Amino acid sequence: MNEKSQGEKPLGEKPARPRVNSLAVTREIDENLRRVYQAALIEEVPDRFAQLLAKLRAKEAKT
Amino acid sequence: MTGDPRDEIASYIRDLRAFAISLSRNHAAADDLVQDTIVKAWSNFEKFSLGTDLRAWLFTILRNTFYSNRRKASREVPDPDGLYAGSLSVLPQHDGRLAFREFLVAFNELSAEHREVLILVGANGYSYEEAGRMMNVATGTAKSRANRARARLCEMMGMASPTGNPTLADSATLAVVLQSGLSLA
Repeated sequence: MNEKSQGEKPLGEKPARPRVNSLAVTREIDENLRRVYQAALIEEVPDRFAQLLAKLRAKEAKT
Repeated sequence: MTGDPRDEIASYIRDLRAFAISLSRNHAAADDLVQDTIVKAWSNFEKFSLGTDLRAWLFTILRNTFYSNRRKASREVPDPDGLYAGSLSVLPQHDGRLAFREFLVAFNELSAEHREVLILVGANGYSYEEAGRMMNVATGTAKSRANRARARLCEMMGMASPTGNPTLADSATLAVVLQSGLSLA
């Protein structure tokens, strides 16, 4: 078993400069962003858009 | 049996709506945006270069419409209407990750420009170059905008604030953060 020390940083290492754009944090953020987008994506789409497209098509067919 | 390439617009309505919701944070406004986008795309379809990314083209129309509406309106965009609230309960709690609830709070506080770049690049996987083209800015601008948006998110969630001071938007946000805690240890 590889017992990794968690939160134990070598003394003297400065946590002062936050690396907010480090790869790990970016990946976390992107994962949450996909969730946000996914939440909107799985919503039911109102009929009005299909109807609108049908109307646009019909209008053109007439002319 | 129409060979009309415009028929393909229909297959991107779901995406357009998700993008519109992410941008406007309001369902009524999002649906109006999608409606306007469809009409514009339909009547300006000759401007679309066949064989290129139709989804990106539609996204571009939608975001342009969003910003031009916003410029026209004297007041700000409508308030968030409790977006995604229903989806929160079905999402798993995850340790060692950014808690989703506070992430949503922070995301909704971002400027539209920041939400936009993050949804394009982070959620949709567009390259900075593609996102830049859609936002009509240089690739480098798209990249630095995304980085600033990510930094702002972190800042708002009280993690890794450059000043060491969590800049929380309000006490409600603070309460959420305190309750769930950022289990990043």
